[in-house]
Amino acid sequence: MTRKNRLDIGWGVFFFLFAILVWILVPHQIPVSARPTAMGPRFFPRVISIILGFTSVGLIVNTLLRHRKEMRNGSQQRPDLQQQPDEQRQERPPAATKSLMRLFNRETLKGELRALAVLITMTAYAILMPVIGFIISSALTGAVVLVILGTRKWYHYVILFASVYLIYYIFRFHLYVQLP
Amino acid sequence: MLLENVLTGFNNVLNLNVLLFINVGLVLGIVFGALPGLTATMGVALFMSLTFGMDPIVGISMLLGIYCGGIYGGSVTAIMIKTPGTPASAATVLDGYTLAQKGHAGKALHMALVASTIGGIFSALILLFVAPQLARVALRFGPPEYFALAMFGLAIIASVASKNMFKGIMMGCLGMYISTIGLDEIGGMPRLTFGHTYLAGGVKLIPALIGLFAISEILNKVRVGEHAIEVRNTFVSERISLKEFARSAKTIFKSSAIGTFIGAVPGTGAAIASFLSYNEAMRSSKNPDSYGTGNLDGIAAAEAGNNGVTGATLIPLLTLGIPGDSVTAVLLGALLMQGLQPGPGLFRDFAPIVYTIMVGMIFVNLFMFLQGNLFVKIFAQVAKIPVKLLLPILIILCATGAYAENNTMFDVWMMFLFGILGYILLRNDFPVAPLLLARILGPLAEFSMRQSLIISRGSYAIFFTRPICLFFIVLTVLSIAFAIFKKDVIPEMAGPGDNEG
Repeated sequence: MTRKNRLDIGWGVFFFLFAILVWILVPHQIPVSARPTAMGPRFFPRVISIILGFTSVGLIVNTLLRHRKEMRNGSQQRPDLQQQPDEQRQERPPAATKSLMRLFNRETLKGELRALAVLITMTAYAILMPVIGFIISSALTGAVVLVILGTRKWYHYVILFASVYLIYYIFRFHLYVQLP
Repeated sequence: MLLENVLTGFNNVLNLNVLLFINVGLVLGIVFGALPGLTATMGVALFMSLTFGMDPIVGISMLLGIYCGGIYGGSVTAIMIKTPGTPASAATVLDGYTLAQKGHAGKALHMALVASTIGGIFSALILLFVAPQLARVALRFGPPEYFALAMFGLAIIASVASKNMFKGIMMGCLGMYISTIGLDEIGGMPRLTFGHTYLAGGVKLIPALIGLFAISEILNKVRVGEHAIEVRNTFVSERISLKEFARSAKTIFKSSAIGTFIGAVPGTGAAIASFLSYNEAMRSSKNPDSYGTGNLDGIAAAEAGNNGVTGATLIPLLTLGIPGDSVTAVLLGALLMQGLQPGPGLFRDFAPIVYTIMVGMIFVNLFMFLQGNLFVKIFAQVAKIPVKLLLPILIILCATGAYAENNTMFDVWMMFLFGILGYILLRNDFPVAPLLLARILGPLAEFSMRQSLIISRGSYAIFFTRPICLFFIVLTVLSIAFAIFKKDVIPEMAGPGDNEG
């Protein structure tokens, strides 16, 4: 099964369980008002849970059907390829492409790590902002993100710091927002 | 009455502040549109917080400038570096880039500008004359009609906005859950707040949409990194001749009409409009083989089509309060922030502002033409701006924007949370537009349904005995049926980002 299909089934299961969880939470988290109305506050969240539950199952079934179709197509194609060995040879990637693909995979991993690093930086930003103030925390965060993105040009940092002050200036003195 | 309101609109637009900020918005929009990975939607979401302290007319005009500029700006990079700045300009690459390769970059850019402007103005005029009529009808809507309308909006959006209908509906459900958090509007009881006082007011729209449409895209951009630009066309100062314009005039007007029609239908978007216009121009052409080889007509069709959407998307937004795509959903957030609740009431209570917005759309397009003519050489260089430098600045701007509305760090946390959610969902091919739209339409659907049932004393017949209500319920059913069979009608053209403007 392809990675995409596995992931889709995983998401289907996840959302199905999520729908059940909300269904269970509804009586605990939503008190019913003393004045009875035609349709209480619990009705809508419950209906959404039912719809989400059904569509999650739908996603799982749909993915399984897609998987079966892919398998069938795959097994149909194989004998064709066997009949035409030349074409098959052409489609197989040469060694150079393979090493390029490996490099690409390393690049993707690097990308994932970069995104994770920026995510952690953003969390730190939200924690630090009330403690050390908007200007310093923003300048620090921006600089760290630039480092993560691998920028070495000094004037990029200068432009960043100027922008931080400009944002502060506009919000503080023109929009009258009391930034921390 | 209409003429009087239109004149008031003109009067309000012809104000130095409004004109200035329309132009500021256009520059920002064109830069955002031209930079690959940054979309018009993201531009509007980011700069929305800047309009918070502004006069509503000035603020909204600036955002409309960003919107229209963003859709046009995508064509610049499509022509110069073969990378559409926004998904809406993907069709422009086909002929625009090829023509530029032949040494006519100036001509391609000029045709894109002319077609975009005509498409935009055509759409703005339709908006100006259709919206008030529709609003007059909508004024008679009661709770049952609003319920049916919200269901129609939800159904069409969840089903059309995604390649995979199940995923679209699932995201709609998630958005509806989020909309139920907070105090229940009818009973006044807290729902799904887990005892958290901040959540009693519900999940705020602005931090959620900045997170979903800006932070998630920034994280994605960080992950992908900057692709080396393989080939860059050299800019040549050149314009299309009157003869060339006359030859493409038919295509431009036809595509403007297609774009306008598509734009008025919720759940579509600029990318679909530009591909449909392109296909139609090619189909009806005497020389279809010349498309894709640098045909000016191809550029004209794609660009008149995508900018033709801009005014028309405001029709359902302003008259019914139903946003048709993600960028109008963000605009709805901006209107709400200014205390303007979109819907027929807007035409009754805030007529001068609504007419100014609609007349403003015409001016936005006129200034776009002017700016495009004057600064095309500079815009052609926009792709050289290092996105690496922009990303940290955008993160800071997002945080400031989320904080600004209520002066609380809780909103900043919310924004980051939605950013992470959006990033994870996008990576797994879940469309985020239905989530946001359900967050907006969910309360309308629930509130109006419960109100209707109070009126009818619990009888569901109220939804099937009123003609307008029945009409929308039939439309809802038809749109779901269309979504199930759509693969036969509209091939998958624009990918998952087709609703991202």
